[in-house]
Amino acid sequence: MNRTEFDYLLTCYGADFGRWPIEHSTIAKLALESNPAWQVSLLEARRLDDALDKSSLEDHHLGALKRRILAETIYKQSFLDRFLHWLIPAEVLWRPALVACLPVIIGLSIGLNIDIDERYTLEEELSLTGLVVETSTLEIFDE
Amino acid sequence: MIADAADQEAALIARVQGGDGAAFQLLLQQNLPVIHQYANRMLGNPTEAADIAQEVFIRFWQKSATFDPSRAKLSTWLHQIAHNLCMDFFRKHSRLTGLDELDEPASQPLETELGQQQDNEHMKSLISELPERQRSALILCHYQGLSNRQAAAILDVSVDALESLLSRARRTLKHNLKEQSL
Repeated sequence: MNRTEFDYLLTCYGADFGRWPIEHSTIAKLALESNPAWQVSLLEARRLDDALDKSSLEDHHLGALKRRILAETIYKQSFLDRFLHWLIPAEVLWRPALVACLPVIIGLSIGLNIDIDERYTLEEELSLTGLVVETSTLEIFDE
Repeated sequence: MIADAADQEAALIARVQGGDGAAFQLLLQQNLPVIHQYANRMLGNPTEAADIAQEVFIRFWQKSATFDPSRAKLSTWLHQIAHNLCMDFFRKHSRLTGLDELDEPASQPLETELGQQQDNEHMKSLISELPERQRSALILCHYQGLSNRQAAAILDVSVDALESLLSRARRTLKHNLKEQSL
């Protein structure tokens, strides 16, 4: 790297080699070590960097802006979209599995909790199905 | 470690592309401050910068499917949207100077011009006087900490052209600092 190249890159990227393209920064550091006179250009570039660094921005509380953005994006989704994304997220599979099992779980819990009087159930079922049942037939069942 | 971060970001982007609001909130949290800062430095007005930042993230949400994380970093893409919106803003408000091709001032020694009197507002106003593309190049590389390739991609120019913009911006700043200190 010659002086002209070094000066040009200093003018582009400033005195902080961390801001330089990696392919140039290592060579520039070595060139600077073997050419102490180049320090003059480096100091000049550093002064401009320091002036630039003095231009700080005030801290802005971005909470309100964030809420505004969310209101215009994810909260604008339809209920169906949101439900589908809740149901089938990219990385979690337990939710769709749970939803698929839900009817079975509900059926089992209802079935196990119903108290049935078996003696009358058959009569009720027969009458509900509309079959004509004679009393003698019922007696046979009773026996 | 860097690969992990890139993988995590790619996974979050994939979730956003699938419409996952929680992933969008995470990426918004990570990127909103830098995008607002870029627009604020470009426009010199935090309220207008907030409008630009809002539009950037609305576009990200709506057009995330068009983004390919294997080709560019998310921060590059978001800065690119912000840059284009800033340019549109300048055009709309007739503030685009188009002075990128003007001759740069002659280089002068910087012995006396940068005294302690160069305060924050002074430097801000000098930066705001730069032509937009030079200003953007300087902000992206100096303040936003982006690499030359990222900045070149955002400005849609070659790395050589970016270096030319940076060089002219810094020479102009040096010249103006010297003039104003005389």
